[in-house]
Amino acid sequence: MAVSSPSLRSARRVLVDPVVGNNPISVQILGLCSAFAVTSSLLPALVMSGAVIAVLAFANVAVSLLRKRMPRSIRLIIEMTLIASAVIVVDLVLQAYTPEVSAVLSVFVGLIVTNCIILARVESFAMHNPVWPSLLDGIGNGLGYAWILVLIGAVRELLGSGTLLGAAVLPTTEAGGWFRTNELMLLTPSAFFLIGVLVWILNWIGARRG
Amino acid sequence: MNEARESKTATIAFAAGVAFFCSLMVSTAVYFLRPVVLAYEAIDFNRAVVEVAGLLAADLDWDDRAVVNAFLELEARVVDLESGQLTDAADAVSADFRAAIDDPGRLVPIPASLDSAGLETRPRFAPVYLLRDVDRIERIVVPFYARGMWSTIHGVIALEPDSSTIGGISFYAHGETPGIGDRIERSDWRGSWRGKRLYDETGELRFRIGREAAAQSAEFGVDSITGATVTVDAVGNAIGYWFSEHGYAPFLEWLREGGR
Repeated sequence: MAVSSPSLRSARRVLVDPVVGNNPISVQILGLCSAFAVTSSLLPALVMSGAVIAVLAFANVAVSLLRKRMPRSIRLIIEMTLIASAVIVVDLVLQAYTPEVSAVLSVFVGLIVTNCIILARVESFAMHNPVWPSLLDGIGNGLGYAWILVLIGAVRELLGSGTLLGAAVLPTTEAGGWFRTNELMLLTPSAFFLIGVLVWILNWIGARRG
Repeated sequence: MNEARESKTATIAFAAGVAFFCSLMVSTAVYFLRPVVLAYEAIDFNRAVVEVAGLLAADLDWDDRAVVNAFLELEARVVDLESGQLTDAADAVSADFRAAIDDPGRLVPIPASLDSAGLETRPRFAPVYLLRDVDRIERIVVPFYARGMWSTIHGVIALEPDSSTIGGISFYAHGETPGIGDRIERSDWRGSWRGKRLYDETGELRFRIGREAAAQSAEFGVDSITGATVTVDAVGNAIGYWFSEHGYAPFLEWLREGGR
């Protein structure tokens, strides 16, 4: 099917806007709890990002497909059922294929069900839009969540352990190098500071652009 | 507003349809992925047993094959907790506690007066893993479980040849609060168990967990974990039960007297 250029542009906007402009974490300030908990190193942040993108894409597509037949009275419970089922499947896949990371993520995969980003996208976008834009919106918002998680995870692992994905990057004093690891980075409060600084930088850039 | 869509029949039919689709999706995933998860759970158990038996250093990242090979070096036996003796009536794999506690046919009730850990029932048969050097028993590894804050906590504990000194403890399955109760897994706390004794010379169970117990006796006491009191107390009570006369004590006595 040929895509005309205005709808191509709007599709791009649906995908890209939540990544930069209307980012779920830095602008909408949603989904922070999990963002704090899973970012003490890069690998769990990456896996969690993948899980959220998968659930968001699935939930948006499913709700969009059903939106014209969905009875208003049971709308929310239907949405939650679909989201929860997707989360259970994702959790099982993680347990089976990445057991170590799954142990680190523990309850936070299950808590994707209650992640406000998902229900927000389903309610405000997928309920009113066709499947294709809904898929893009899901992936876009997932990516918006993901890049912040990955960035915070990378910074915390690099400064906290001197490694990235477990591979030594900075020579730590323990291993005879010069880099002194910052243990605060491995604790949850550091994620508050980093996300705070990030929101400030992004707002500052936004304000300069007018 | 679409009237037909909002009718009672349509609503019920729609809910049933979604429910059916979701259950199909979840059960398909469980059907294909559950065996893989169970295999990892078995390896986690092997890893815990091998670690407390002292066959693999705890802080190194051993691959699954090394764990299973080391596990197979141990002599896997079954204790009949009624008689306190080794038995061939069951095999160690089928006696696994995680499977046994879901099977009423394999459980026996614990008399309320002896049930210091609130378990109510326990399996009749328990797997034990013995590390032998020629004819001498070097380590005795036994499983136990506790009713924690949210979950059943499964662990293994290794005893030295005197069947009283703790050689190591490890927890291989639990659902305690992440970041709080799950600190029982931390190697520094588990390490503090090493060298503590369960029984004094008269055979009385003296082992206790708690701040005061640790302060009173370096020989029998292990410190608690701040903030994780419920979980830690559950583990402490469970140790109290499992090494009592209704638990492993008769078996350990039997071993000390040369049973094999």
